[in-house]
Amino acid sequence: MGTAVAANRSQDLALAQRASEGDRGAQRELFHNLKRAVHHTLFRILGSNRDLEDLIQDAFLEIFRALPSFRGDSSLGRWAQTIATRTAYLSIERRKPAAVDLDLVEDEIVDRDPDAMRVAHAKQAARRLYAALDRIDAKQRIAFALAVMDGLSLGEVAEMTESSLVAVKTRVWRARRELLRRAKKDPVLASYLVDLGGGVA
Amino acid sequence: MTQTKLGPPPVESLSDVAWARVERNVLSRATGTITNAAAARDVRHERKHGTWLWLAIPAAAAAAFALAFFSMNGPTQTAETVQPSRFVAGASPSTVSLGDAHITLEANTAVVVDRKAGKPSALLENGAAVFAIAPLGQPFTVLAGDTVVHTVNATVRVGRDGERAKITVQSGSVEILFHGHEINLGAKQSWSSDHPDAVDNGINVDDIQIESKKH
Repeated sequence: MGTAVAANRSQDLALAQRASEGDRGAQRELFHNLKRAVHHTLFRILGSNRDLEDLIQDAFLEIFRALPSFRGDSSLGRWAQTIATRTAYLSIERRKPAAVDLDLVEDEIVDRDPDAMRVAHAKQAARRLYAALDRIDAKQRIAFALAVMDGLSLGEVAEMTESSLVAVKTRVWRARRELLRRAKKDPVLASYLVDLGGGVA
Repeated sequence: MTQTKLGPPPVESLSDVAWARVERNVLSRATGTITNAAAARDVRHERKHGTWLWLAIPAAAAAAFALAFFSMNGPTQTAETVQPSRFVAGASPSTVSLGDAHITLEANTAVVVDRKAGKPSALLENGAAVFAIAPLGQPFTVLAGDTVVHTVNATVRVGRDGERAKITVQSGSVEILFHGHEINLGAKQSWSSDHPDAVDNGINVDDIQIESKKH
């Protein structure tokens, strides 16, 4: 471990300890240090979501609950992302499947400005991708979101999902196969998967 | 369709107001969460080692019996001290007394009071209130947006407008935590989140009343 990394880890440990002892300043600092990472992880896995605010709260309460067990084996940020990933997983498992196949509803793009068209296409594609992800296994979905959409290494995903490297690899492969199957009847999704690098079998 | 790669869906940011709400909720529950988790761990630790288990079972049974007995025959004070209460003052000021704390809510003010044993606190949702904490009472915490006020013995006015807060001490002393700043205020001093490093000295105690009337 490099000197800078070791110094960061010891700072993380000190901050976690002060926060777990009830130091309000440390708790606030910890919240501000981690909020972007927690939000990013939850959003990447779940997409645009009206429950996101509640889920961020759930993740942070779980982070505070687990603080005394933080040993500094990874950075505080990565440790928080692991908890956020678990929160996302529980949220997916709790959700009921959608009654209507919303990804079949076409959006009409009326603005001819190229930038506006691009943004509209991106939104439409993202919506279709998350609609497809809603229909696959939660663990496969998380592995795909973190590895393909977020570009994390398989090792990092394994750490965040507390799984083996082989399990993560298998999940990404299965998620990709399932998404490609669904993309056969959805050209927007198919094109987007190619863009993301998730369409290459 | 454009030939440019779309890339991963952008992460939509949360508004500042939403973040402030999340932070307030998380931090107001953080300490209790950590304490409960530590207590649960202690219980698991005890279970793991099986120490004094043979004593704990009859003790727990006796405690459960006593709780059931008192809940049937006495006033339900336990439940009253655990549940948070929300107090709202409409067009005119209002006063609430809660054990060692005496709270005067100015007009159009809302306060949520949590009377947790040992750690009573009040969340000032909006408006202003004067908190009079008895000298020998429990430590009291007031949350106003990002501002946290701790006191064991003070009469202090806390005003809140969105995420801005103003604290004025009439008597006693308070400790303020704000964005990593720690400020100690004594009698006749005031502080505002607009100037977190500055303490205003020598205020007229009557200002509290004047401000109250202005509000």
